[in-house]
Amino acid sequence: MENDEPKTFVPPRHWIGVEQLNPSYWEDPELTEKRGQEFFDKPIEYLEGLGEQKTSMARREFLTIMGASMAMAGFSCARRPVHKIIPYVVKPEFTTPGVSDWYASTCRECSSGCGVLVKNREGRPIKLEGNPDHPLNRGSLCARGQASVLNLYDPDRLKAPLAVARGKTPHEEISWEKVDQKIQEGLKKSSRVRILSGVINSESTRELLQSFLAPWKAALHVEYEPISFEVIRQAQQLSYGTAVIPNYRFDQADMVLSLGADFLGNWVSPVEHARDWASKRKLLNENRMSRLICFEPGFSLTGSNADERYPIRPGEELLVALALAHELIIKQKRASCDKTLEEVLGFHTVERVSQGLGLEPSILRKVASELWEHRGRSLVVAGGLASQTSQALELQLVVNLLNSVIQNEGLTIDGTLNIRLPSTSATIFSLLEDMEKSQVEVLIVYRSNPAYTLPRFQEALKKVGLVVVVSDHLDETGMLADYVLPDHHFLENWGDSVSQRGLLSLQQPAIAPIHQTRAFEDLLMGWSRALQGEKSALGKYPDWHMYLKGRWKEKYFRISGKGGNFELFWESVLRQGVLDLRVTQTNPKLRPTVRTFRSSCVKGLIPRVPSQQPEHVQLALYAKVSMHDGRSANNSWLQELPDPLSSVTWDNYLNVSPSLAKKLSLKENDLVEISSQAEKARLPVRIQPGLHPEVVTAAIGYGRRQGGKVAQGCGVDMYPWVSAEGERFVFSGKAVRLKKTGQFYALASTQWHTATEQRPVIRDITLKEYQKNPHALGVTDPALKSESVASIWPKHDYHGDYRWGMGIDLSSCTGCGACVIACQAENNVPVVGRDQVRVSRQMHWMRIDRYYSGSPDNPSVVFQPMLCQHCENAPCETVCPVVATVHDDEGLNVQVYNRCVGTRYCQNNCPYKVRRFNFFDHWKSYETTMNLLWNPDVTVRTRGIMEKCTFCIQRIHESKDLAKDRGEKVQESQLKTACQQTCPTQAIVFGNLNEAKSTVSRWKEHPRAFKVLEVLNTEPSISYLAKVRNP
Amino acid sequence: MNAVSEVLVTGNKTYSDVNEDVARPLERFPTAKWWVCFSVAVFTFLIGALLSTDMFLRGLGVLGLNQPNGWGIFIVNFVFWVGIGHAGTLISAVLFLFRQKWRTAINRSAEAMTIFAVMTALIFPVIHTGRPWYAAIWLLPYPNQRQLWVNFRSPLLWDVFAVGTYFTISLLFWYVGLLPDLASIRDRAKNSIRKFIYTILSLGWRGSNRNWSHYETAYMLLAGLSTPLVLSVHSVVSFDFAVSNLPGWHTTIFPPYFVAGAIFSGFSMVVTLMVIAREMFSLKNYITLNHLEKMNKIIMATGMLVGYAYACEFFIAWYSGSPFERFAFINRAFGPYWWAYWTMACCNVLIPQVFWWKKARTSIPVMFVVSLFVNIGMWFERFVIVVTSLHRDFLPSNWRYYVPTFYDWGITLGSFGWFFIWFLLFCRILPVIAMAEVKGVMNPGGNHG
Repeated sequence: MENDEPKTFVPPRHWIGVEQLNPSYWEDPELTEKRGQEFFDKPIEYLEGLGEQKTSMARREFLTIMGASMAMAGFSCARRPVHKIIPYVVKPEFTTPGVSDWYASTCRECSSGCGVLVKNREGRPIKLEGNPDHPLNRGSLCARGQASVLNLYDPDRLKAPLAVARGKTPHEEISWEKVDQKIQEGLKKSSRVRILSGVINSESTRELLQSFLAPWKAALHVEYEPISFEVIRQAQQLSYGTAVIPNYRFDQADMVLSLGADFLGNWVSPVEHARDWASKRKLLNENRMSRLICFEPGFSLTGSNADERYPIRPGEELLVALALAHELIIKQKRASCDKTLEEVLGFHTVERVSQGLGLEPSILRKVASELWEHRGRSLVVAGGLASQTSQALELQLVVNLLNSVIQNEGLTIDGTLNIRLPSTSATIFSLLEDMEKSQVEVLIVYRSNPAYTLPRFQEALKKVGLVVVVSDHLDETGMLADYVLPDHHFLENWGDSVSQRGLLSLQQPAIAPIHQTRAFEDLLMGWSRALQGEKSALGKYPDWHMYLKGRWKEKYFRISGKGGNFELFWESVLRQGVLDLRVTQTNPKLRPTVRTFRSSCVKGLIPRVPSQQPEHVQLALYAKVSMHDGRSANNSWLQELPDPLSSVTWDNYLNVSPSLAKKLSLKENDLVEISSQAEKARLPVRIQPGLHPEVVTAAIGYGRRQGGKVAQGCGVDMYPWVSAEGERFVFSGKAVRLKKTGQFYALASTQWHTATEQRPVIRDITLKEYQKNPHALGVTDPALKSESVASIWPKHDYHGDYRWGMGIDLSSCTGCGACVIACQAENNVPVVGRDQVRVSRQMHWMRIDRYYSGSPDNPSVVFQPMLCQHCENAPCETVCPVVATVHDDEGLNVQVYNRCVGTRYCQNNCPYKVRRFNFFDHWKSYETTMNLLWNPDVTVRTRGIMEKCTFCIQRIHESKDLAKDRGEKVQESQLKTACQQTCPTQAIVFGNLNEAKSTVSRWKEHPRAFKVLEVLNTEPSISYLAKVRNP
Repeated sequence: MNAVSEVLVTGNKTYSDVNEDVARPLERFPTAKWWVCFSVAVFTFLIGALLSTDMFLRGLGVLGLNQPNGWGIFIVNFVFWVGIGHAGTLISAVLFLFRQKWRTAINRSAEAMTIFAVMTALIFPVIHTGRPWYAAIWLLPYPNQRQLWVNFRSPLLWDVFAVGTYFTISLLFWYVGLLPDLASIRDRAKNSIRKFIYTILSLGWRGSNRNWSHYETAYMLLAGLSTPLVLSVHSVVSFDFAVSNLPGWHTTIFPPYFVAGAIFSGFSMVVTLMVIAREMFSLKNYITLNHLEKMNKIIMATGMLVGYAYACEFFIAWYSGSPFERFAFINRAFGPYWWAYWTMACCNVLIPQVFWWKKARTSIPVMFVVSLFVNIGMWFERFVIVVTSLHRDFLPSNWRYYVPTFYDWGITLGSFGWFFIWFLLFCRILPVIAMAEVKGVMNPGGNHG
């Protein structure tokens, strides 16, 4: 505030020179400035003031320049540039950095439609977990579901629309405006439009598609997927009059007979089936368990978990089914037999069929009797690729007959709860015909890759006027298109799904689209509006999200009968992820109706058994648990997931039985050429004990030519071996010749040795022995009987609240590998690539060891998940010279990454060999967008450091923090390790050993419990429950 | 006064002859032969250095290590080189305490060999860690304010102290022993720079009675300190294996077995080097066939000890009844690495048996070849121990092969280059024979009656 009064000058009391008594001294600006300086006169200024030429550098300048040049000289060895992390200045309203947000959505990796919860950190999804509220998967998720989050961040994803020009010129990016325009032009002048898609489980999307296609006179929507279960639906239509894929109630079945159906791996709804099936085999509180008998051409996951398994040739499943039907209907007279059935079944007695199969007749007879014994509580299932011969439909018909005879229909087979929506009326065959006759002007392909899975398609595509592919990668079909449009990943998009009739789940985006992608539904809406303007049926809503919401309001909200505010309803469904209308639609008091079997459907059924050609074997194709039909071949987690039976990563191979290999002098890794009349291929050999000596199998989904860096160069394309007979695809049964090439290809396997060598690794026991004496787990070698060892050292003292331990039930573990991928996603475990797996450097913290026992012609299989056992007397802790691995006060063996110098003594001393060493900087393989996937709670390890399972210590800490906030202890249900959380069969439990009532404590005291290599006195914290078989 | 019963220096040498014969090679320009050897050594060292640099930049993945084979060629080399060093200390210290006068011709070179072997050995534990830039520091209990300690229960830490003290003591012992000889060279020096350097190095040695008396006492004390190291150091190195729980490693026979093996391979290396050195420097009158024969006898004796240890291991594996142990030994002899096992058995047990014949013991070509084979055999022994036990341990699902890569072999070769660089420099700069000590055990002017 300025004073208006003129100041009167008061001279200072103490002055230095007389000039300070003068007021002008104090007002001089130059002097004022000088007074503020440390030195009155800088030497430079003094010199300048003197007017001297600056001939030489003044001292300060010299030092400045010297310093600068020194700094620049040392620049090359400067430290890493310092990056500053700038935290939010204003906290975003709906999220707390460091705390995960969870969104309910639906997995779209296969057509089962399991509900998922998406774990979001700072706006990006980093992990998927099953939605515990979804009745289908009840919290579990399979390996492919867990890996699908990596697809979101795939650097090879399409980022912008491409003009491909059918692959004749190098493709180039094109703007959305331009491509929309071009497509609208094409659509406008055409009348014959087709949309070809994969299986769409969303009623809303289907309706939208139909609305879009309505204006064209001859427009059709065709659904096609290489692995389809339409044959089941067709058989149901013929047998019972309802075209459904029924709901199979494995949780009600005390006996299951599988004729080639890999229901634990790749058939219909694997997560649901695995959970249901395993629930009958827990043996925790009871003494009974279900039985699984399997007749199959290949060696599937289901077969490896079967109590009894019989290898047969493709096509012989039908004979088995006929023989069983004969035995039950004609021989044992369990059901009425009309003329049709007599004609069909009369010839196929148990004796004849058994002779043809090379089995003892008593086997089939016993199976038939057992089926009858468990009538109403059993299941006969069939299907799958290995059984998809030319008579796949006939097989399903006879299986329907069997199920009706043993009264499963309506009890364990629920035909009212149709799984999935009906298929489209137009088939891929009719589409191909139309295309080949140049009857298709515009073809829009969505989420389907027929140029890869259906070789005939490539030629037919040439005759189509305009080909538009909507996909997430530039795949084989995209390369032959005119335009390729990038689609949202399911985590970026809205949607819904019908997994069973009346069971709806919603899909919501968990991240804003990363690239310039668009939802397919939005594309259609946009084109429709542009072409039809006001009259467009899709003009009512501005976008897909609103369309979906609007449709739910019109349809499901009304049916649900919930009443009230739609917005609240919508939000509650979004939050829960699932809307279960099954109870309202069907009367809960009534059982599902028992449908009558129409024997006319099997009239004239004659099984065609291919004649045995000399020097030929039969080829059966199958889909791997990790690769499925090959759609996610660019997913490196899935490529590196070891196949449960062969432990091979990154490639497919020809499975050959030991006797056939001996006959042809084939060794492991030999490159062999298989040839039929039409095709030839070279595959490395993998010897698979238990395979039929006249059958060889190979997996589809490999040999991709496009689709990304990871996908290309993996394995051999087996789709050319799929043939079509009429309107059926035939995957198995073809006669092939094998020829040695003399070359060899090193398969990258994670486990070569398959016998336990009589070591105390696995304990298994039959049900009868267990029922007689639950404590009778024999040890193979008396010398390995472990006794308690007196110790002079004090044990660890767990007087605190928690002592963490784990239990793994070998009876429940099916070997599916979901835990391996879940652990990889949760703990930032890198992928190392084929060459490194070849020299045994895979980094999986959790692995599934697979051991065979019994005869090599038909061995029993045990899967054992192996991870850090967190031993009480950990051999690794004593030998680390720098104290990088220590035991914490809650029972965990803890690895300190910063301290580890990588001597690897701990790895040598670990008898379980669960420790993984970073031989290279594998984290560098995470390119660009993949870096968004890291879990921020887990350190990313550099090279030279040892790592291993930590019992998800970050989850333990999170739970403890949250429990502390609530003022209580961590409850068992609140803390799950990643592997435990995702296991479809709930084979893993984790919890507090200090609590006597916790599940893990009870498992530890269970008579079936044992510890691996107990005799070494490592005292692991993991108890395994012995595998019980029911042969 | 010292009437020696046996002739240790032949050729009627006088005291001044000794100085002349030993010191003259140092005082002239190196011969062409030396330059050739030296350049080969430098070249092989550079190969190793380049490969190591690439390994530091890219990671240990360039080696053949994997899961479960966490240790490989590098640890084999480490044990091999530490073992070789034990012969030198035995000759210098133990034979001194046992008053074996014949040691005087060879103890200087042997002790030098020990020091360079230990220097070579110490490279390997450092470079084979994942983060050697930290391993070099963090393995030592440096003072800090974070209560950070090393793990004294770990044999690798015991190695740090054992091999560390071994190096220090050996260096000290060797240097103290060198003082009179350095003084001799100083006194002979014509070149002023040479005189200056050796004056500094000889620490003002005057040759007075007091000097000698202190020298003898110090020598005795250091010999006494070094003697237990001969037994303890390689025992501690063997604990790297014995203290772990792997079948094939976890056995109490390792300390004496390793020490015997160390002396075995060390003496063989000494024989190899001495046969060459006495030829190159015309020292046949000092390092006589007598000396070599005595060394060969020790080689044979320790070889038989090692053979006995092999048999003992097999017996105990069977007697223990442990299927893990039994399998480990059957796997050694008949599994995928059987070729390494049988090489080891032949080279270590069979070949030294030729030394029963005096003609073989005193024949230069025979002993040279045998000594080379013994070292090959001892290298394979460590290979068999490390690799066969690791590649097939408890859980069969983990069984995998170990295949060393080009980097493994190249860096091993480089270590040999490193060793020979130092040894060749030693031959050029320092007296190869302990002149002062030899004079103490010879009859000047030859033996008269």
